[in-house]
Amino acid sequence: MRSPMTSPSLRAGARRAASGRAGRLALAVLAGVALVALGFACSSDSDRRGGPVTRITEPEDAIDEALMVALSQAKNFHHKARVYMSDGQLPLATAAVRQILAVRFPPAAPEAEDVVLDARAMLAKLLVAQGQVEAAMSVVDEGLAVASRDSFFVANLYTVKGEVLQAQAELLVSTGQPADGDRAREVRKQAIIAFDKSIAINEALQKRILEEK
Amino acid sequence: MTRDDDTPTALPAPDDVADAAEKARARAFGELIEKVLSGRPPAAVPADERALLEVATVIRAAARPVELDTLRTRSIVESALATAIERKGGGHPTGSITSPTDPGLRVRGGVIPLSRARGRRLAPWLLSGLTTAVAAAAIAALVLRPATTAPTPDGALAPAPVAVHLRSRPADALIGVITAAPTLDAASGAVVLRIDTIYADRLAGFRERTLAGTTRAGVERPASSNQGGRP
Repeated sequence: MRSPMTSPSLRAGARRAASGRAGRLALAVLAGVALVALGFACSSDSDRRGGPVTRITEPEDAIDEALMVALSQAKNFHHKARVYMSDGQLPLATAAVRQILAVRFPPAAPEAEDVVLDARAMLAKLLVAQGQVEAAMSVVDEGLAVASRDSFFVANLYTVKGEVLQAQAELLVSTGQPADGDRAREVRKQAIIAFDKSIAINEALQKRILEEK
Repeated sequence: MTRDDDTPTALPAPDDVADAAEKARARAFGELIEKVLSGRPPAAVPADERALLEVATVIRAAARPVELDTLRTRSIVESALATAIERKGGGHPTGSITSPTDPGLRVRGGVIPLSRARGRRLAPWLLSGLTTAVAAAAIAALVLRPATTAPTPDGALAPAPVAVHLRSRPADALIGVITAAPTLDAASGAVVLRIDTIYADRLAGFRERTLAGTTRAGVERPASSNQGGRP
């Protein structure tokens, strides 16, 4: 009688048994992989986009640190100019205010235009006080040229323009020449137009603000 | 050697010579024993002969050991091996029970019922198939689900709307009409006041935005938060 332990058929049976164990192990691994995939799928929202869910983009119109830094610089230059003015050093005060025009504001910040226009108005006044009427007029005209909307600061700049024109007319009159007298009258008309423009802007803005409230 | 109550003959003496009838009965009983031992017992046996037959079977079994034939021995061994292998290996792939040492030999004993063996074989496949299907369905739902918030091109979520007082905005409503200053010093003081007002208002909004986490959580803002700090 043949020994069963050495029979090729018995070895084949043993191999079948081992193959069955390996198959079950492979299936268990496959099931585990499927469950892991399910787990990843359930914890999905963050991983799907590849970033943390709490990351929120900054709105472009939100008050940010760049705007606050620019406003802070403008504020400091105005205070610095006031100190110079209180000391009678108008050129240094003028230089301080002029530096506000170079402050780098966020491009889309409406406050930037307001603050710069206000600085131009103050700069024009300082220049007029120092007899630099033409330079003052250039500062005002440049500001009005770049203004993108009507505002109280634009209206104030028109007011300053009227004051500059008024000063210009007085200078013309002070020369005592007849031609300059005619020119002075023309400049006064322009000053009145500038004041009227300022008044019109202020009225329109006040009406709009009241309606919004 | 049978004795029938209806037979009128008397019992012979032990040393008597057997007559023809007695020899015929002895021959018939011998043939009966041969038939029983060869596995061909008659359908009906008289009661006294059955008793004698049992005694003869016992005497024969006691006189010689039981020897199974080769086929029967192999069948028992193969049955035991098949049972062991079936239990360890999860059953035969085809469900038929054959000898592990001789495929042509069918064995009995230790056989797992066909339905149970099939169920044991299919259970892992069913489990893995079910879990794979669930995972695939979850992933498909995840991919096909409409996004509640549109992501921006860089993958971040769209910005939430910001309250008006937290936005960068014109300062007209804050400053109002700017009256003409009578002197240069008054104009300087007024412009400083305006820039201070704008800065203070925007700083309040900026701090509210940056400290929104604590205020929205209901935690009182520290008293020192409005003093100094950024920027």
